[in-house]
Amino acid sequence: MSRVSKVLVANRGEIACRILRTLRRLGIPSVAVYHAQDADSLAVREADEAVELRGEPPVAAYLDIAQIVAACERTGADAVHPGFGFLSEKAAFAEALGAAGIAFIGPSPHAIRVMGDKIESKRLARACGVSTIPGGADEIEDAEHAVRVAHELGYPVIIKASAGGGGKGMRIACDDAQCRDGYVRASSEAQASFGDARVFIERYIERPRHIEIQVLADAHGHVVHLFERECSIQRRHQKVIEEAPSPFLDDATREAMGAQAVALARAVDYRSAGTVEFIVDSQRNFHFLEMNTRLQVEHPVTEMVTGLDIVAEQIRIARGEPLGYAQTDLAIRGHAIEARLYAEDADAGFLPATGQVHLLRLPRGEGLRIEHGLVQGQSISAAFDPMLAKLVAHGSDRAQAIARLAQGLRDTVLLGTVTNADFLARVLAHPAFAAGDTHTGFIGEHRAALAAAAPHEEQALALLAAAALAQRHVDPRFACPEPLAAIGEWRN
Amino acid sequence: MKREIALGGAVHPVTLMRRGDAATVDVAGRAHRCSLASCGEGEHLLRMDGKTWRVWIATHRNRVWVHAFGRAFELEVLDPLDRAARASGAGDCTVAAPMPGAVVSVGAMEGERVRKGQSLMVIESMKMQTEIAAPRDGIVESVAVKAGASFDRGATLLTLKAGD
Repeated sequence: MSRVSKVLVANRGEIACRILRTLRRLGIPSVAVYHAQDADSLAVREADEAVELRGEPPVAAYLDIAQIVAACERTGADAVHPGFGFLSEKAAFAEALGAAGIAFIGPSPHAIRVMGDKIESKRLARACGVSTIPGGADEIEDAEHAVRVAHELGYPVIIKASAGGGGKGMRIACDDAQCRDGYVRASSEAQASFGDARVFIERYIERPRHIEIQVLADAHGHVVHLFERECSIQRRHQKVIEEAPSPFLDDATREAMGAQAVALARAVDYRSAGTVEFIVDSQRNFHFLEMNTRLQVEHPVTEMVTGLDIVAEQIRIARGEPLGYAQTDLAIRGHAIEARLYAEDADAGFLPATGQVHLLRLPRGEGLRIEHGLVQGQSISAAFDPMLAKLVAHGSDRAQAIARLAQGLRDTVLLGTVTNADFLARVLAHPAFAAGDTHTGFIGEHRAALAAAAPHEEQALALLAAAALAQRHVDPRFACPEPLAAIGEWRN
Repeated sequence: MKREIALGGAVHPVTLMRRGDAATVDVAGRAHRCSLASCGEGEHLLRMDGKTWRVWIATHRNRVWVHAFGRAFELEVLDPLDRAARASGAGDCTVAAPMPGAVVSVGAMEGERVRKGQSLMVIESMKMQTEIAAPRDGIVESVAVKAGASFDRGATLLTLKAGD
């Protein structure tokens, strides 16, 4: 087993900073990697050492296995934490590290490979008694095959890319024509996005909730789950608000989902932290979606309700330590909600925004945790994912967590680009959200109610006055005294 | 001094007059007594007609961002000369990015005479390619971006000057 005495963080932004914080807390020396665009980033500042990677476009730097292995060798790092995204679910990366004698803080290449293939993972899930959505057993050969499968399942159906993710290569069909068209489009999108045109068809669950189970498994066969996270609030098939526990699950469903997630993890000899995603219908029937073989963006909500540091657990597991606790030692305390702050214009179809962080004042408050990698003055470029930060609030109950998160969003001052902070606050304030009446189509269904309200008259006046007074060349000290102004325009 | 300030798609004429430490801001013919006191680090106390709000302000060129009432607003202080030139359709003209993205290719060269509607460059945003066409006849004065460069919404891509 590996010593994990010095860890290279193969990521950037908020997740690199979050991993570095745990490394510091554990007294483990750290190495950051960065592309020139991130040379002055918070992650570079917070690491003990940082190594530049080259790449064009910039994301290529963080995807370059050979450069990252070389950076480990150069700095003496004997372990790598991949974070999420980038190389975190590339079996070849785990293998390359293994070949160089470097520990990958994550599961085995085998587990990554099996769970990375949606058709393969679903076969395995069925084989070990995990509830799956009807359909999806076969790769679809052509449009007519798609229609035959759809008839067996009954409409509506969903056509998905086998190698997919993030909503790409996904189509919903309610009749034969949509099914044929959806097959062609999903398959060509899958080829373009993933280099793999294989698609499959499943029964489409209407108004589904996205609920996932966090699992932890050590190298000695101990597997526990850390309960669920509900991540139903999504835009463009990406999560924006996540919470634990789900306001919808009862104890029996929670226990059944947890048991199935643990069974699936055992079936692939899983090691490290992983997440088994389910969709849940209005009758609390749940169906396996996929397993993510890495740390999730939304892991902090689980940390806040269980008191565990999941990154620290991953490091202990990579060192070969046993978990040291059983399922019955774990409990949910209070409620936690996370909101993802994106540089995007929620009122213009969630179009990504760029800009510069001219002013940054992040909130503090009881039960509030902020994950970010921002520094004032930095550029927000289109070169990377537009997620800026995560705000996570914990409360003794759901209402308190919502109230604290909403206050945190109102107090988040990030000027110089467009963010979705106010949109997120509007979702939290919606009565259907407060009632826990959530599903993955929530944002689309409530689009009108979630639209930005124009400032009222007094607010608009105050804003105009602030803008007029703040402009340096119209500073009141330089403006003309009133008698002159009355005469007319004095200077531009 | 008269200004036009854009907020949420509407343009408001605003006149600012100094009066001692405070100022009078005249919006749409009605005067409001205002002051803005800096508390440091971008934080300000904005007073208007006997009310006070805590606001955060950042400025960059003619853009002003104000965080107030629990959310952020972007305002633009319009230059009267720019607006006059824009309104007349003559003189120099800036071709601005309609959305953030990256330049795929640049078809126009500096000094080139272009016709209205002619393709000047191709940009990519959200994995969609869009042609940027000349808004009117003119001569390409400068090309502000190169192929591969990324830009924000509203960034200057290219400027045109009058044809003669």
